Amino acid sequence: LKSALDRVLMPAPDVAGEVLDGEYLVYHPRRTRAYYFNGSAAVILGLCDGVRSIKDICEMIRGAYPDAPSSLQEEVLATLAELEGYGLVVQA
Amino acid sequence: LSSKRDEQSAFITLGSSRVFVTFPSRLAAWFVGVTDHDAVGAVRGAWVKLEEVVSSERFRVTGSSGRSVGDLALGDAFSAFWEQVTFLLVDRLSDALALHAAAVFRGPDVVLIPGTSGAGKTQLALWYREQGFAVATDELTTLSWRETPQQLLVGTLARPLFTKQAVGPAALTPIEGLRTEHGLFGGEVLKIASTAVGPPRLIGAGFMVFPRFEVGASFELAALTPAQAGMRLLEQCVNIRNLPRGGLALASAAARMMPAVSLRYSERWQLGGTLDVLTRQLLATAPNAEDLPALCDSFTARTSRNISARAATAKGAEQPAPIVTPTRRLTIGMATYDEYDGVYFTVQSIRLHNPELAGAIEFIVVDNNPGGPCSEALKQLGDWIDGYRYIPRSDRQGTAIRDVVFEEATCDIVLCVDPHVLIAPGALSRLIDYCQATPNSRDLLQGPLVYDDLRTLSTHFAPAWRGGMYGTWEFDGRGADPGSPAFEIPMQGLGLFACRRAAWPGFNPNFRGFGGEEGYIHEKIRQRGGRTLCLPFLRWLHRFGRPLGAPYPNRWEDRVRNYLIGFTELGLDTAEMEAHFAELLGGAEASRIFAEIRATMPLNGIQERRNEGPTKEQASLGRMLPSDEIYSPHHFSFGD
Repeated sequence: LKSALDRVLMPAPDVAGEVLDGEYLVYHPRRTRAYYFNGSAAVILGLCDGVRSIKDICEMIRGAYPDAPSSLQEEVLATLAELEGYGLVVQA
Repeated sequence: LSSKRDEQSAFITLGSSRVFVTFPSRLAAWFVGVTDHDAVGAVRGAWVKLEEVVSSERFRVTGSSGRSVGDLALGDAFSAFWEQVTFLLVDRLSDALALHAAAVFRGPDVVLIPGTSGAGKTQLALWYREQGFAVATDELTTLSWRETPQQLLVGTLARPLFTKQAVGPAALTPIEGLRTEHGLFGGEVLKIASTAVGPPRLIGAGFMVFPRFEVGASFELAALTPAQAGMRLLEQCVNIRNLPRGGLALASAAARMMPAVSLRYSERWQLGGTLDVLTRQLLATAPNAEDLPALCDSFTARTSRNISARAATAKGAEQPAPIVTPTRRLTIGMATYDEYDGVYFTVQSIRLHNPELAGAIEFIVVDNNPGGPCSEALKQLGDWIDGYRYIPRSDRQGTAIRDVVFEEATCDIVLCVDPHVLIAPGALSRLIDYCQATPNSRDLLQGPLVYDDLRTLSTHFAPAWRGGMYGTWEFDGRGADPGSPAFEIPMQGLGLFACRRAAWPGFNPNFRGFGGEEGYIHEKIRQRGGRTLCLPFLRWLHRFGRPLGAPYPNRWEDRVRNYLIGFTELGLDTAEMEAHFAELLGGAEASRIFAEIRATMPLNGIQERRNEGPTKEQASLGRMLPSDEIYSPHHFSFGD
């Protein structure tokens, strides 16, 4: 778990995104597929800047949303694993 | 358009893309308004040919894509022909987002209906045609930019409509006369004049409906966020590979510009009084992010009630049930004293922002100054408004006049508001639903006051004296979410309150002028076995400011008198009240007022009904309330 939290991710370079009212609409050109992210997923994706670790991201979210569920860390990891699976984020 | 023996040729265009077509001359009427005369002479590249096998009434379709199909009846040949044309147009289109979508126009306003084949686009477009819209296409719509100034353009593929089932006569009135069958299940090809070719056009207002037709499904409207709408647009994009960034920018721009809903339906009757009203509403006024979900919920709930009524009727009568038209379900009443503008905007706001309740609301306007400067206008307003009743009454004046609303109401549920209150969209439908779920309630129903920043709330009054008023604004976190359940509160400002007509206890008939009702009426409800509940969804704004002043007198004597009468009637201790007014007005002044009131007031206040209102003479003699206190949100009395 520790090594997973230390990973640093960034958006895949060829992925295009648009923010609409706090939600994300993303297009992956190589897959010619579009993806919709709700507000929570958009926050997570937005924090993947190639500098912050996943642990940093969890702490930032916890600081901004003190009422976030105790399972926050697991949910962030699961979300990022899904994004990696879609090729939307890559290892920095 | 060119001719060669019994054939004609022309171009069909979509944005910057065009296809050269050839068809038998005897079918030329099917192509009127569909082919592009401006494209004559353009270089022939992609092409599709529809030809008749001599003397056999059978047709063959060939094209530059290499596909060839033959031995087809006319309707099926049209289907194959347009399928090839559409493919070739889209395959070459790189400067516009091509959507699998129907589009209907009314003037410059457009309703886009994106959806996969079988989603119900064509039927929905024809239904919109019945509502006065022109069907531009049932198949292919483009979105593109005009760069300077940057504006969205909507283009449509002009082609006949293809239905999967025969269409009823109502959808085809007036019909141009061109129709033929296609497919295995009675589908039709229909030539409608409004599907005429033209350049992409600038639009006024726009609205997007993503339909899903499901046999036997209940009606459901759901608001989509811009990102959800953008996602659905991209799902229907048929040239995504041709566009930079997959057309993301265009889809996002359209999603930002046009509100969007998903629609599930199975019957055309479900769309009447719901989608038509919502469409009018959205094309007239852009909704905010909270209004649209509330409107959709209201329309969905309304249709659900109609389904129940239809089922009940069908079971009882053993025959097809008629569509149930709503009867009046809610009385909304207000008392006014020379305040035409307030009545006008309160009533019209309710009508404008709750279209799902059209025909379901009874409005009662009690004019407490008959013969005054606003009376005629208040009466004439009723000529424009369904269910509006103007009631001139001067036998009581001030706070207690609101009893007339309950006396005159014909609905079981009565909502009484100040004539300068605005109600959150969707709140009235939810109030009706709440009351129908609690048919024996004796409760007083209120909701959070929303301040002018549209964020700050006051859910209730705390029972404390301040500034000559019983009750101070407070906020309970349970009221923050409109979806939270009702909770009990001690009291609340009476700018908006609802009660079953049969449970309304009435104000003390000896109340005079304004003030003194908060706390009193809440305790009276409690003493009769009811509660005061905060319904978090029942949000209301109250116009506090009165830069021109109130048109009626507002006197300390009336207020103190009403408190004293009310507390006495309910057996409440008056010591705290008297101490408060002594501190506020000075001991000697307060003692004088209390002594005068006690000398004239009835013992329990319920034997007498005064028939006098505040005259100008009385007003000039009485001590007037300071306007900066009375209209402060934190000290305001709603009984004005």
